[in-house]
Amino acid sequence: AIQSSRFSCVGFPLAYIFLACKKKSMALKLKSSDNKIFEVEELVAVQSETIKSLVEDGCANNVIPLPNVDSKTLELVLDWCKNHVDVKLDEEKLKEYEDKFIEVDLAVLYDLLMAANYLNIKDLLNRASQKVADMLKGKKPEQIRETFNIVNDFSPEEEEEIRKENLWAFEE
Amino acid sequence: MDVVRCSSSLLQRLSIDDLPDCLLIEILTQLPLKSIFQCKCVSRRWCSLISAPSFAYIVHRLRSSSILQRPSTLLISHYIDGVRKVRMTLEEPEFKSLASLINQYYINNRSVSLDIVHASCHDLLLCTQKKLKLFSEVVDIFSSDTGKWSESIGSCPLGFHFTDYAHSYAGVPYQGLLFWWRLDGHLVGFDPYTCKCCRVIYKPEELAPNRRILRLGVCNGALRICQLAGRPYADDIST
Repeated sequence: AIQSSRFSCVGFPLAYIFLACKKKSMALKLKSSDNKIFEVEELVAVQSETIKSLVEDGCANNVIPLPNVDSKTLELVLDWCKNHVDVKLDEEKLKEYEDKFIEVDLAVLYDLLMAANYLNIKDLLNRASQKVADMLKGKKPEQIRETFNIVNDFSPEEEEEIRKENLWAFEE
Repeated sequence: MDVVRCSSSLLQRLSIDDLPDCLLIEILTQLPLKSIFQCKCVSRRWCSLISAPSFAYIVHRLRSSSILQRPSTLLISHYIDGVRKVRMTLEEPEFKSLASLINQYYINNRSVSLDIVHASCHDLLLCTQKKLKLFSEVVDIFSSDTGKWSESIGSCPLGFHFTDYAHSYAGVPYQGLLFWWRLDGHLVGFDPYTCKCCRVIYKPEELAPNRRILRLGVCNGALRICQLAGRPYADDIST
């Protein structure tokens, strides 16, 4: 009862100021490498440690340029961030979301890795590198080279040498 | 111009080798150990990334947290009902040499009698497997944090073999390095994380020839060796 009476006294102006402040700090503008502007809530954007420190340093008043992230990737990254604002939300659902999110082809995965690294988003970086690691797991070196398009720059002798040194890893 | 260069991923898709080292390391460290060693055969770049001591360090850190901050633990082996077990106690410096009693241990309840326990340091027990003839690569580490053995990477400098050292005694941990003496009197310091920093301290000239160092230990903050040659000999080699 005390609270409500207090609220009725000063409630209107206070709430107004509060809303106004909140609104002002809520939207950030991010610019992708291909010059598309993304308007996002601050809460979403500050999951990127890079953006967070910009905001804390007061450098986020204008458009924040992200010259290393293209719009397609940024859209994905922001979607990830939106779904991770409140991690206390249903864990199972979040995992389901992450699993679905990360089901992309390799090229997109690399873009996500680069973006997560540049924007410093730990959980996305972890999830994306885990995904690549899962694809590496259980593959022989030849298969890895084929899948990931890697040139074998060893001479046959050198490769044999390394294989010999690590023979135990090749045993079943 | 900038925009075109930076958004190269739009025009030309990245390949895994376009990823910077830090990202490739991030990926590789998430693999199981066997896969990591297989990946050494993929290309020169992958091989050198995985061989770097810092890589082993990251793998260690990912798998067992804050090892380095913890005090050393004494590990003693003893028999219970005919089964050799490893027991841990809190650090008791004067008993450190007891760790040398351990020369056997069990992985998955399977006796690996040929294994050599080299030292206990920072809560870790360092062993190598004789059978595999891979002294330079496979190091088994026992962590009292988790109470479990784990295989790990120890990339040793060329020409360094555990067996060359006085293996019947455990090493002595000193300033983050494990020290052994060689049969010829030189001391060797070995860092299980950054193995390339293997350090050799040559034996002092005045050390009596033809006599082996009998004890190695830490006393008053310096690493000291003791040789029994009629008169006790102690040498301070703290730097």
